[in-house]
Amino acid sequence: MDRKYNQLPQVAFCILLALGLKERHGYEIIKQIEEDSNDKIHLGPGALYTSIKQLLKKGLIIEVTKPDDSKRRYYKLTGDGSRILEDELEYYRNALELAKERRLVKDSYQYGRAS
Amino acid sequence: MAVRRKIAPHPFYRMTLFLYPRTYRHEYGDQMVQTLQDMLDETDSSLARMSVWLRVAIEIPLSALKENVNAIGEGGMNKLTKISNKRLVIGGVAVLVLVAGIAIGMGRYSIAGGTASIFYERSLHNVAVAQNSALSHPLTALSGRTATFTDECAAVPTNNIKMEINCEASERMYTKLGQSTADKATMLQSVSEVAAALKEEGYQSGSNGVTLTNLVVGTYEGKDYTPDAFYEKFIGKVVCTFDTSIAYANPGQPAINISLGCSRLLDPFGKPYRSAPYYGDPNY
Repeated sequence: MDRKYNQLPQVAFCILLALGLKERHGYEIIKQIEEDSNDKIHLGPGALYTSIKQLLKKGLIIEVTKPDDSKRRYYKLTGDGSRILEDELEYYRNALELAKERRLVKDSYQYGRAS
Repeated sequence: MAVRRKIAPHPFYRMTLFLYPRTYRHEYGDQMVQTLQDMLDETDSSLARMSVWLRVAIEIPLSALKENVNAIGEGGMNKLTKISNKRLVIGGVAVLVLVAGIAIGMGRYSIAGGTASIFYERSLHNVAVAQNSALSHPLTALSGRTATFTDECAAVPTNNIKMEINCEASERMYTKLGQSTADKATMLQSVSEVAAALKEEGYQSGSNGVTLTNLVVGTYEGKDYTPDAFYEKFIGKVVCTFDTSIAYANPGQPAINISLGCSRLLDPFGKPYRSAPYYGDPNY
């Protein structure tokens, strides 16, 4: 299969990553993205649902409802969404390895800072 | 498509949703409001709440523009005319109102905050003067002097980014606590009368539990009261505070400082007034 790497906008990638563990509603996604980015990415409802709409349209996530929380819609990854996320992560993993080989980052590089 | 449900309203925010295409608004409007509500529910301070509103105000024009461009792409140029009319006007007004609200809320030193104080100043001062009169001029009762009302109200910043307007109805003044038996008896009699007047007018003893009588008697007994006694009365959104403190002089007699002032908290989001924390309060 011919995989296309790095085809997601940053917010969409962050949303897929946030949904990687479990299904979440809007605010849970925002909180998870803040945590994943070391509090560097802050989304509001507008940016969030604009991206969610695109991800739904591409079939990368689906809506789910929970009987015990009828006010909120939850979102979960689809099979395609999981595959795209894996591809994206592989792209970033390869990019990081390449950067290390070229001594562009230190081996102990962590998100957000180089020690 | 999921069924739209009735959820917590945010009228200003809902108005800004008119900037988005109708189909998008119908599909995601309620969820956007719900997410905003969730974000606000988790804030624990006015500063955090303001930060959320600021983030929302910044992103609305951008995401709305993006959705409208998408809608044009999906539906052709006929949708462009709809965007340029009612929706833009309503949405634009809503954004302006939202930004103005944030500006007032953040107006620690802002023109908006100062302007708001003008509207409340006269009525608030009248409340303060009336309260002072109702209490038979407590300064007079305790000091033997007729209180001179100041005519000053000022908008002052409180904790975080709130602002309150404060009107002092009477001058602050010190009255020495005479040490002779006759002085003590006179002072305690005055204190008793003022305490009775406060109770009759509906003033509640402050959260530190120190009463005026405790304060004066204790001071005569050599105790050091920190915090001092204060009383509050709520009149709508106005809170009037009868405040005391003890000034120590060495050598010399201690003196009691008394004031009566009324404040109105200017909070664009309608949070109830909370007493300022006092010295010794764990939250201070």
